[in-house]
Amino acid sequence: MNWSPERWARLSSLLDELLELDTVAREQRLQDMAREDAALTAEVRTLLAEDARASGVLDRGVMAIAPTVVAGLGTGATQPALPPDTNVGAYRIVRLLGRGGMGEVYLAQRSEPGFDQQVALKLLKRGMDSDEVLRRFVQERRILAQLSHPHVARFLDGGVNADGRPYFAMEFVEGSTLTEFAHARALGLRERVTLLASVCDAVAYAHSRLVVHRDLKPSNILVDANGQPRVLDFGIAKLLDDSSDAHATATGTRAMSPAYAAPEQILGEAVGTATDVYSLGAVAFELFTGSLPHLRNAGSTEALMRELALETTSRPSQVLRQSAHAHTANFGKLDASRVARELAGDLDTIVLTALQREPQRRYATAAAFAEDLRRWLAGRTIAARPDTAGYRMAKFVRRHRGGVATFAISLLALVAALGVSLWQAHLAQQQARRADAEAASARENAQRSRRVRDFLISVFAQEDPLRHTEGGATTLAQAFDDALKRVDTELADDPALQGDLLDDFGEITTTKGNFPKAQELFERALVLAERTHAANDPAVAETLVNLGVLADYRGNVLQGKPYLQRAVAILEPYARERPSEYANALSALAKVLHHEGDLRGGVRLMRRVLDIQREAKVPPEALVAALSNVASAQVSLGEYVEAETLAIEALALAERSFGKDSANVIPPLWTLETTAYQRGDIDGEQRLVERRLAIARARFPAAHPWAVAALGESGYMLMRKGQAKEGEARLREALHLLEQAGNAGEEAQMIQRRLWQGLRRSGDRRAAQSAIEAAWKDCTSLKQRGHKMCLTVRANRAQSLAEAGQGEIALGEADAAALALKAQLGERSDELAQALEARASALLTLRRRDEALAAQRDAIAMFEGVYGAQHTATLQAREALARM
Amino acid sequence: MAEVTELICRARAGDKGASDRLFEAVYADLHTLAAQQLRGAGGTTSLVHEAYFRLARPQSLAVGDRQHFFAVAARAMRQLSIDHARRRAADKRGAGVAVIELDDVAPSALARDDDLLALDHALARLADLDPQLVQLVEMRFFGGLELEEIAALCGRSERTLKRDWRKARAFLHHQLGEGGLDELVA
Repeated sequence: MNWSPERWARLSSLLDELLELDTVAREQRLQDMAREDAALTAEVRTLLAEDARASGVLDRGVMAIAPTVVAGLGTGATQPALPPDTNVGAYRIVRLLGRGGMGEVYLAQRSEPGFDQQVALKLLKRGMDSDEVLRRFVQERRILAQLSHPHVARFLDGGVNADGRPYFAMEFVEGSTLTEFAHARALGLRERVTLLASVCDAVAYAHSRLVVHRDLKPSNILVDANGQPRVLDFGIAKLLDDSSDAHATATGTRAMSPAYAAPEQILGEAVGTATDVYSLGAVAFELFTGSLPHLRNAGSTEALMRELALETTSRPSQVLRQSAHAHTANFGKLDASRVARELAGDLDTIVLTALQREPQRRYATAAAFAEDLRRWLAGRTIAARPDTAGYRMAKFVRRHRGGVATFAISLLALVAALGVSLWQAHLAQQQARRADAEAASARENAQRSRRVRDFLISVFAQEDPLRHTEGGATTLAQAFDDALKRVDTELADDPALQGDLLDDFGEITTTKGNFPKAQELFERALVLAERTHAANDPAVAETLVNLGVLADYRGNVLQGKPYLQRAVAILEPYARERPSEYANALSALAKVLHHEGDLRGGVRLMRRVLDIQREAKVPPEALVAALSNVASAQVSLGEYVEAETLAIEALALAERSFGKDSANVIPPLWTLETTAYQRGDIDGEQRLVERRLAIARARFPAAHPWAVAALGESGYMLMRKGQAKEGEARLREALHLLEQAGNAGEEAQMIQRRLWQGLRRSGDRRAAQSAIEAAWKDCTSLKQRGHKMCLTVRANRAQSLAEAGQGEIALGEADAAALALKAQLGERSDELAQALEARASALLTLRRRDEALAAQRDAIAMFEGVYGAQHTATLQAREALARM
Repeated sequence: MAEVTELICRARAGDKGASDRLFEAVYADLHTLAAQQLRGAGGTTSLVHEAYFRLARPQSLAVGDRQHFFAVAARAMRQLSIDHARRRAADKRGAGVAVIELDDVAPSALARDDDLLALDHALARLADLDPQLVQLVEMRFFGGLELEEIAALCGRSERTLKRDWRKARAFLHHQLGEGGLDELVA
């Protein structure tokens, strides 16, 4: 609609009025208006409708809508494109083809006469660690150059340009991306599958040459005018990946697109051929439905980790049927629902298998993927896939089929085709056991339960690819609810199994996020477990731990305490036989104690966990985690020497098991920074901070809590070293990242505290006070005032209040903080000393000078006790005393 | 540094030349800042705030001048983003060879740049009707400033600004047509 300024002015003032009214009043007013000017009212209604619809996308800012645009702002024009005829290595530039986050891509030709070959020359932008990249390139060059396959764009050469920028030359492929090609030509499903199979061939070939792509996505898969796909950039991701330059663009340059990346890539874990299979699965998903399988919001924080853990993939056929994006895929004359029907069933299965969260549950090779695609095309049955629920299920049922009476329970229509129900099989097995009931030991039962549980969890926690019935897929949610009902009715005569299954279902319901329901299920499971087992049977402990952990999920850690205490008591005699169960219960209880403020109790438990795990030879990541946890708890208690020893052990173990750049290295590094600070080794501390920052940014999305924390700490480090503006900018950026992700809490509070400390250092007390007030507001609204972090915030805030002249309030706050800190941390701690300093400032403001001096001296003594006489903290406290 | 303060002063007094030079200075600085940014997909708030720290000493600017600075910075951000989107859209349509994209979050990144350009058009339309709303959108959407901050800078109540925001948003959504920005999922 085209409005004139006058018209708009009228609409605007009407909106001013109407937006303030509630629905009823608004409607009334609109009706009144309509009588006077129907046309104007209609226009106002249109705008009001837009207001009602507004998705908030505009509210989030340009970065949320177009991160690539913002990301790219830093690229390109700072480096004007090379003009034609410039020489780069053995090549001559013809023209610029395009730009990306990595650098520019040019069309080029070999400089020597007689060579007409056209190449695509990728010139990387400045800032990437050229030496490192080159070193890797030299290692990989021979392998990459030998990749010769009809669907692989040939890698030709690489080197360093005259101006020090690395470049790669590859075969120039003219075409559109896979998805664009399919869209433009309105390809049908079969043609898309054929295309994809060829792509898989290319990837399989590279795998056989030990090259993993690591960054497969449609823009890396071009299709030329003859309809032949060519995959670009094999191995490039790896060459760029390990070059860590903390000052270059970090996450943005990481050659991985979150949308197509496998979970292990996102989590910074080991990458392999299965990773490429996953990416191929994501590409397949998009190619067949027009939508991506997962929307990964790089902006969410702890939610990202949990999101990843809970991530389920919907079946492609369902997505297509429900999607508004069907047009994106563009199947031409075929309509989306017809294609969806073709997709449903085996092709759904194939795609979902590739997209399994665990690598070992996917196709083991791209070749296997291609093979199944071709089987589908040929109308043949697709192959059995090892490790999928369906496979295990089929094997399980076959094992128990003999001699089972048929009656009509069917837990999930999963086995409809096989005509035998899972329940029957179990009941049959159970009848058999009853026959030798006396002989059956408690352990055997527990093992059976575990098998049932594993199977069920594998079925429900991830959508099972085999789930498919005529006339549209019944959702798993429905099947689950049916199953739940049947547990009550059909298993009434086996309360033990009932209890087991209710507990399992409780776990599943928890992963689905329905906590009240989960609580109910666990409580029923507990009752049944207590009835059918001895009161101190480990089976009971399992449900108790679940109840304890669920309380934490529901936001009330302390409520879980009685359950966990009981669980620990029950499992203690089984510590050797069931080390991981016992350790789990202990860890959960330790968290409760921590929350209550009983840090010493918590550390004691965690030490026990550590001992158990050492003895039980658990996998390294568990041991690193346990070591790091105890170390950081000891730091809280001021046991710096012990903390450092454990952290060093954790670091060494993590480096040995996962590599120096693995994310697992971060927790021990963190602890070591604190102990370095304690020793007064600021340079050592800075090195650790920078290392942590580099790894965190390389391994995690920018808004991940670890990346943000590292950024914040490095900002504070800069402020301590005198680079106030840059340090502050980093801290604010870290804060912004957290706020954007909707994450308040301890991380944000810590950063605000750092801002407070840094700003006070540079003399800006007003700004410092704003920062600490913001943190305190956070603490209050999250009801975390009793937490250690918030107590420290309280003390710092008291300091600012005192400096601002509000002596009375400041004194009260400082004393309250000191009291609580003493209770939690003991007689002597850095945080308590800060509270004492605040007290001193408050007293000074109140002109109680002698008391103020005494309080400051107490603070100095405490700092000295914690860090020693020469530590900066102690010296700064002395200076403050001198100024008084 | 003092130059910028002076430029702001003169720009506010109506000196068009000073205004242009101010814009250029801010644009260039934002661009450099963006290039130096630690990470690719960063928030624009930090860019604009950083430019502010660098170019204009916070203490020396009066409120009105601060507002002016941020308004200019936000306008510059808009220009930067649009220029960039325009260039990318052109590149994409150019040789038919895919530009190497990192960090594609959307199902169809093709549409993204076009959407930004469409938004720019819509904003241009709005400018004819209500330039104050355009400034608000620039500061919030492109500049990444919070409503609270804008309220403090412009000396208007947050409540009024919220209402203005809703009006602007309704207009823009309307201009962009069905689907439009809602199709973009971040």
